[in-house]
Amino acid sequence: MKKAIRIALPLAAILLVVLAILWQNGAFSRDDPGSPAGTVKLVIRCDRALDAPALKEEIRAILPESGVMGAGEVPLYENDTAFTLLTRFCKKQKLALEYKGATRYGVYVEGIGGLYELDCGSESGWMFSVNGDFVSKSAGDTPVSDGDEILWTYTLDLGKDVGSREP
Amino acid sequence: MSRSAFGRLHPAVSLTVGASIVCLAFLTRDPLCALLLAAGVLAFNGELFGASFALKRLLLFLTLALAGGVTNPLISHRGVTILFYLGDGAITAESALYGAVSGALLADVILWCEALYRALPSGAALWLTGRLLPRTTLVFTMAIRFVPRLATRLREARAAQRPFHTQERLRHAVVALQTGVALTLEESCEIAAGMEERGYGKGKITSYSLYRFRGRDGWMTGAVLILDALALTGFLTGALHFSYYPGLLPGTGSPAWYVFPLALAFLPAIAERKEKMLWRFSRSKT
Repeated sequence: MKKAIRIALPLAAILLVVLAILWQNGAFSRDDPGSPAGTVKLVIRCDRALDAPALKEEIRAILPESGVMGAGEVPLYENDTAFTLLTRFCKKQKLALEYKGATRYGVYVEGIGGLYELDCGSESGWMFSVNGDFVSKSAGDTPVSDGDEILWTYTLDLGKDVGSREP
Repeated sequence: MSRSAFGRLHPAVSLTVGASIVCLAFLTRDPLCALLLAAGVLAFNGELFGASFALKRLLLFLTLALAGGVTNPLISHRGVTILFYLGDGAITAESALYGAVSGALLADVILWCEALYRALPSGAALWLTGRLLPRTTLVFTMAIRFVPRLATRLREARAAQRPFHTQERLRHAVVALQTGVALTLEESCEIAAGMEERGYGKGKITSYSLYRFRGRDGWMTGAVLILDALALTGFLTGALHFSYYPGLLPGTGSPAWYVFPLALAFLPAIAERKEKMLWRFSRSKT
């Protein structure tokens, strides 16, 4: 009996941790959001990173030379945000998406398709704009409407090089 | 004396071999190196304590490697080769391999430290540090010894006078503490006087050493220093380097470089095996 408990307890703990991680990744959320309420154009660009001398060769090797990592129309469902659209798009395009889910500012995108923040210096990372305007809010708090154009782009200096007026 | 041939080497030599191997496990991130180190420690354990003992170690190695390989891709989604999706999280091959190798290297460090602890005689490390840093070692060993000694003194003082009434307990505890501290202080005075009588601090004194630097120690030192230098060269030139992100990128160089970590990992096992063979042949001749 004691031996059984000694084996079962660590197993249960491991199972709990795995379930928690799965839940955090959204494995249990229902994948049936109803019918689409429109479409949104989504583009992911990394051309600034390609110009950067600080980019490591092995990362440059996996980036597309055109600077466009993905572009296409994404169906828009109810309660969608810029972030949920990005996750759906990345899943469809087979791009690995890494994000921090619970920061003080909401969700924060760290890397898309192998290109991460800080890969090209201390002020580099991913930003996004809706219809050409850069948004300083978290993508998870940014609602999107039918016909919007969302651009995810890699910046080398906190957004100045890609035309963001925000500090 | 130690029952292992490796443990009968000079402590400076066996500890250099052990430290080189553990340093290698800390330095490398190469999957093949991780496997070689594990094979080395399993062979060493097998020579020393038999196959079933080594099999248990293999089980620990596999468990840690598997745990790393399963948990890392759930947390980190780095890498470009997406195997499948769990919810919105991409499970990448690079992340899984990185986790598995990290777990394997952790197991390597644990297993090597355990094997060295079992194979080397208990005083070996103390002897070496005593040679290099005599004062630090003395203070350290005395400080370590102080705590259990004080606990024993307190227990003795308490046992000498047991309180009859519960109300007396506090007073009794204070008296016991006082007595215990006084006993310890007195004892330290005695130790200091004893050390002085034996000539400690009165100039240079000689001491008998249990360990001798023999011919085989010289051979072993030469072998391990050359292997260390070659393995380090392999790391510095990038031949033994392995990078995981964004895509898997093995080292640039001939696979012959792996001979050096292989030889280093198997040195202790070879030392054991050689001793056994010598014993067997010398027996059959007579």
